[in-house]
Amino acid sequence: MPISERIIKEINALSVNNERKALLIKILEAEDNGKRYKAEYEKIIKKYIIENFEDKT
Amino acid sequence: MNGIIIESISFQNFRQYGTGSIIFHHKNDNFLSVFKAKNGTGKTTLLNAITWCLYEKEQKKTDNPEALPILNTDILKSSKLNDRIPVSVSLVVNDSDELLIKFVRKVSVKVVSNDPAKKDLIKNQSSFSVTITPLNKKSNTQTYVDDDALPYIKQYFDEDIENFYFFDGEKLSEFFASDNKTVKDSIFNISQVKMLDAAGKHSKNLREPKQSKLNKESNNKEAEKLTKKISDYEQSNISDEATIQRTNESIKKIETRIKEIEELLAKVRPIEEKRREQKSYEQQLERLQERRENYNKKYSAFIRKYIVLLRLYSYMKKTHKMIIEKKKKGELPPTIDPDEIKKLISGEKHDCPICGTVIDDAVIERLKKVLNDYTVSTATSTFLVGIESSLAQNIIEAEKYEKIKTELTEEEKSIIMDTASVEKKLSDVNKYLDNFTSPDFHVDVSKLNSKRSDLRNERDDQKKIVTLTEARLERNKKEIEICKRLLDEENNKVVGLNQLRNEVKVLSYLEDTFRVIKDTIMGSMKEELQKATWETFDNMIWKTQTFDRIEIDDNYNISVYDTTNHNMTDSLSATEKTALAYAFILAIHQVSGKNSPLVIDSPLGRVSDVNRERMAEMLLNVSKNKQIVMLFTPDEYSDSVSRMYNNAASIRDLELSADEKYVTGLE
Repeated sequence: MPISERIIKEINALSVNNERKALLIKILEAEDNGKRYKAEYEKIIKKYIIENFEDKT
Repeated sequence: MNGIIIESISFQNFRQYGTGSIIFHHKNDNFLSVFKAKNGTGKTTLLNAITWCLYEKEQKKTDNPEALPILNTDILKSSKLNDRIPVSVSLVVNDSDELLIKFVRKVSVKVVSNDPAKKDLIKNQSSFSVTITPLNKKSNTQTYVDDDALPYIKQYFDEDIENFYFFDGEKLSEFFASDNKTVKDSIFNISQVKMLDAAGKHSKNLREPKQSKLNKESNNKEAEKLTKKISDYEQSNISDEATIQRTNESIKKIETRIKEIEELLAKVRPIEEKRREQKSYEQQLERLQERRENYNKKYSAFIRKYIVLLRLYSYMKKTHKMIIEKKKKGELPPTIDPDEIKKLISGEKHDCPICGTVIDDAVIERLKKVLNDYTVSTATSTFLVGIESSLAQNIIEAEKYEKIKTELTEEEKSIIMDTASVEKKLSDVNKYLDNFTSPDFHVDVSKLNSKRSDLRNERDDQKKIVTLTEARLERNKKEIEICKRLLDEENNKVVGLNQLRNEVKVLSYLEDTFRVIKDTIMGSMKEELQKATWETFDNMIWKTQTFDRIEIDDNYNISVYDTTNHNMTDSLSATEKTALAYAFILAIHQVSGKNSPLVIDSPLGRVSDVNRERMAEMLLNVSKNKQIVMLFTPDEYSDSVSRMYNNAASIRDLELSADEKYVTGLE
């Protein structure tokens, strides 16, 4: 179900870049979607590291 | 509208609705649907159909369920022995034009008596499903059955607070008699605070083994120590949180017992005056207790401050004296950067950057002398001059020690004396009440009063446990924050293992951020709920000079105070209680951030006169941004209400067929 406006408002108010905000929302969506949170979290975090960290290896 | 709307309800062989659907229409930008029906026509059955579909229960069952079985009576009459007949209700809900959710409850009923006069049935093969269709067509329709479907009920129409969505306006004045302990939990669930909590915990569960692996592979002993420390603090916090919750529940039970005793004592007229005195002394003692706590805080701060100041006093005094003497003797040179002087001497600059004087050989000689004449370095000089005023201030503060200590001692003496005096008066009153006997009364005042005193002492002891545990919890939380910061620094020192280190970093960030967002939302929710409840209540009630504010405690129990600071909650009129219930319900909807519909049977209850119009108007205004379904009898739908609603709402009359077996006009 949609993430509540209230949570979105709090995430938008964080002083971090948009990629970090998107990461938080993706994790919440994964949390909302299913029971296999481990695999989903790992996938999202690994993708985020590849796209946003210089020292990824 | 951004919110949840019931689009339709469909029935199959269900009570007098038989088989058919009702579509909820809207009119003139108001999401207000009004159903008018005579008593016995199916007004309450419509509300019950919704609660049966969602929770498999009906709020207002008839006294004799056999008189109105769940299966339509006409179908039952024409059935044969052992027939199995399906009964179902489905509810279609639109969530913010993003999702279409269909809740379906089905049951198969079996006819177990062949006697036409006493036909009976049993229910079996019950099932519940939720089908979710994304309206943006980006993903597929999903159906969840039975246990897998229940989380959607919890999220959309949590059964624990069903009275906040589907209720009887006539019963609203009794609304606050119910226990509110599940309200807080449900609000957190609806507002997805629980989801934030789960996301934080899951991030932690993933981070911990990765952190251990990182510590081990990088052989970082300090990080290992910090990880262990964090884990110990967290374990202690889990135990402390459980203690606080358990103790608070125990306090609540004790307070209920105290209230019950007070209600019994209130029936004994001759002790009224003494009980008033008792109450007054107890309140005075509570205020003195607050004074004592403030004093303790002030005294601790005083000790913390002076333990440092007094230890340093003699050194401060000596240093200050030395600075003043050196200043007097001119031994402290002006603040000049020696590097700048060296540049002037070396001939890099031809004019002085401060006064513009031309730098000739004579000036260079003088500058060389200045440089050699320094008895202390410029940096030391600057430092000494800089600390002079703060040293002087701290010396003055330190010399106030005796004065402040005397003031604090006086304050403590006054608290002790006042407390002793009030305790003595209270003890006298209690003695009187403990020895009060009157054969004319069924209430044993002496026994009850003594029991009441014991319970109050027990409650106060429990409160102390909560205060101490809360303080330790806060301290540990701060320690965890510090340890995590240090651990982060240790992780940054690790060379190589980048992927693992980055994963730990990201998971740690997620864990902390979800916790901060959760705490922010939870922290502000109570205050927002209080404010929103007060605004609606104040708008609805015609009295403008009586009520002052609404307070909501940590367990979400609500109290109304008058302008003289008296708690009026138990003495509100039925209309005022109804207004308060509406205000609280609407505030919960607003604050939880989930715009859910309201289905109200007899929405204006027995509210009359000006309050009735104000309530009707308030509900009409609310329906501009929230779906409201109202079920009226023609009598309740009075002229003043119809004038307001006829052009603003979708109005529908529910009538029975000629044989009185079916509600007519379903889609």
